[in-house]
Amino acid sequence: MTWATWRQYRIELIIALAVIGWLTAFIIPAGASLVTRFEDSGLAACLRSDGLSGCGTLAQRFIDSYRDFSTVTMWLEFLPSAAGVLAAAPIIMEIEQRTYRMAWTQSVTRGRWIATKLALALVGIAVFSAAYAAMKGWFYSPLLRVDEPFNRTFGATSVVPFAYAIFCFGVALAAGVLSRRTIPAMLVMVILYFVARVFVGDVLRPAFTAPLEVRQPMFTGEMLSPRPEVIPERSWIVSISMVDKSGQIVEQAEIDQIDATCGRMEKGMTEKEISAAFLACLGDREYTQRFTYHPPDRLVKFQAMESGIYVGAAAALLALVVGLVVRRAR
Amino acid sequence: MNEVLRTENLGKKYGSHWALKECTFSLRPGQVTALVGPNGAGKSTMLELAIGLLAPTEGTVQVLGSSPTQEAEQVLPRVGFVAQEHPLYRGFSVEETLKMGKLMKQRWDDEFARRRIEKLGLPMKKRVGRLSGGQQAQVALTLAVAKRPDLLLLDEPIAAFDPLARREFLQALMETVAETGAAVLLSSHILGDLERVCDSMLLVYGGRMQIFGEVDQILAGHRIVIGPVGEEALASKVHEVIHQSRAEKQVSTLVKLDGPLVLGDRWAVHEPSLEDIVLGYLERGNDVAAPSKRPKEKVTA
Amino acid sequence: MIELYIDRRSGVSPYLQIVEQVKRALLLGTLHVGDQLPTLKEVVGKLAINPNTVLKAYRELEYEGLIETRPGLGTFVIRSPAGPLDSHAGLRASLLDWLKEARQAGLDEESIVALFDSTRRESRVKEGI
Repeated sequence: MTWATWRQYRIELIIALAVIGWLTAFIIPAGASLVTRFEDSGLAACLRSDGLSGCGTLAQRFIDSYRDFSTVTMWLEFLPSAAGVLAAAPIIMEIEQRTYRMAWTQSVTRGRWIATKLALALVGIAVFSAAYAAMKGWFYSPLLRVDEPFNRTFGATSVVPFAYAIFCFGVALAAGVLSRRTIPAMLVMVILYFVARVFVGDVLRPAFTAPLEVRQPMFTGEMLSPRPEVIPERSWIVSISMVDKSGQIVEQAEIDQIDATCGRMEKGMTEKEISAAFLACLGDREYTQRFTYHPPDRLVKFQAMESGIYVGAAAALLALVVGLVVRRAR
Repeated sequence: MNEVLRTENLGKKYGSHWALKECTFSLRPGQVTALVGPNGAGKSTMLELAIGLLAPTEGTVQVLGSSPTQEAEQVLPRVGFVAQEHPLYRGFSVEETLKMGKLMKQRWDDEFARRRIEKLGLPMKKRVGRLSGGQQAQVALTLAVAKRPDLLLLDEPIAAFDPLARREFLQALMETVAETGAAVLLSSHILGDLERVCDSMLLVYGGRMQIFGEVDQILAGHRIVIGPVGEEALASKVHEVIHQSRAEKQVSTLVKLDGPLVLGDRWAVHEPSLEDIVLGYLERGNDVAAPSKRPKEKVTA
Repeated sequence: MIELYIDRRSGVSPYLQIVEQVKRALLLGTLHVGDQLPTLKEVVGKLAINPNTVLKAYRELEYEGLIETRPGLGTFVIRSPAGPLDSHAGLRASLLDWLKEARQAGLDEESIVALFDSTRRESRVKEGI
């Protein structure tokens, strides 16, 4: 059965290699141009001499330039689902075409049959994920020196790509075993992967652990306060809010009102004059800025937690699949 | 344990419908048994229970003393099974399909498999998906027989074959039985074929066993008696009436003998062929399911 | 080696047909004492019949003392039934006369064979063979 499973995956292996090859062809020029930009814009030199805190503008400009490569970044996020498709397809097709009825009456038990397939699929996904993670890591390496690592580049390192991929595999396989149809299973997987990424990334991740909080007065002297120094470079600023004198968070409606009444600017005013006017308008309303953030040293823990969620879901789905296979009639 | 296959009160239920009920029989090594019955009668269910694709709802099935579902590891290498649709991996070539059989943990006669494929004129390198239905069936059968199993379970294996291919397959099957002493349970609609090769028969109708026994004994135990209309009760007094049909002046009755046959001069007695018997039982099944709309006749003394 | 065949429509059970064919071959001189009979595998491989049928036939012949199975070697003829046909000159003569009569009565060859076979069968029943 081992040889037969290898042979069944022949086409998928070729496609996987082609996908990696094609992606590499995409990524190398893009990544190379970013490395060049990193040097040529002066950011590299700046970081060497002043460190990140002194290179804020250059850094921000560099971070924004990644937007030029939105196609590449999109494909990169899509790849774990490609791994799921390639790994699950042969198994689902065997169920759809009912050839498992031949396999189950050869000399291998159903348990061995599904175990062999899962083992090979997981090894394949691991190898594929490693290649993918290496590419993604290389592509984002300049960005990782200046940007917070919790969002765009979150899945670039550690086992996160593998976790995404086996989640996709688990969903696709469970959908396939339940529906006995390949195409609908793949569609379900793509949708659920998208939903999971959005939900886990935007709703759960910020709250993996309670973010740290720091407050400072909104104005220092007559100027808006700069970012608090206590927040380490490359932290993920989860939220910035205004808090009034009694400690309540200021609602957007009130912010809009303040803006409307006090934020009127006249042509020709200096920055100092604008701030002074604004402060005067505020009167005795004192506002505090409240930052919540995760420092970059929490990255490893967050990656572990996120991987845990996806792997846990995958494990549950694969256990369901094994259970269904072993107990299935006909 | 001399029995290759043994069932006891075997039954399978789907929802509220019993596909098979109260089936008890056994097969010895070398016994070739025909599995006969109308479509949907439970033949495929029976074969699938024997190979472990299905688990029984009630009763037991044992292959070489082991349960096909609980002890599949012991059973599967010793049993060859070909489903009605004879599934194969369509992307594999014929050669790769045989290779798969070879690499499984089972007794595999590679030379036999290759010789057979060669004799059938099937191209080794061709993808199975590109072969005709009949050719695919041949590959599936080769896969099952080359395994040198102790039991062969074949669900309408040669339904798609032309007469020459059918004859050739039966020759090869009988050679295998002669050589290895395998037991065979083979379902088919082609009674002529079955009469040649089968020494016993299992007839299933409506999920129940109607007949099980050796062909010789079944033939010896049934007669067709033809007598005048009005006297048909004479036959049914002692013997079990399987099916009766009426012409204008005569009644023909298939009976199962329960003792010696004693009838008057006006009666003719014939030995039915196996086909006559099978058809009689199937028609009885139809009568029970949908009683015929014959006009009631008064029997005059 | 002898070529066996099965006539499905003769009404005679297959194993008996084999027994008769072997005996006939011996009588006609097609098969001699010492010749080897085909193996079970060879017979069923050609005729596509159940091996038990052949086994039954061979056992019957063995019981009648005509053949013998030597383990590892095969099945061999050890004796011929009755004597060679040549010695039945008297029977031959009466048969020739009967055939002449039958043809004169207008029977064609097929009718003659049919008449002979049905009468032969009838006589078996009557004599309890």
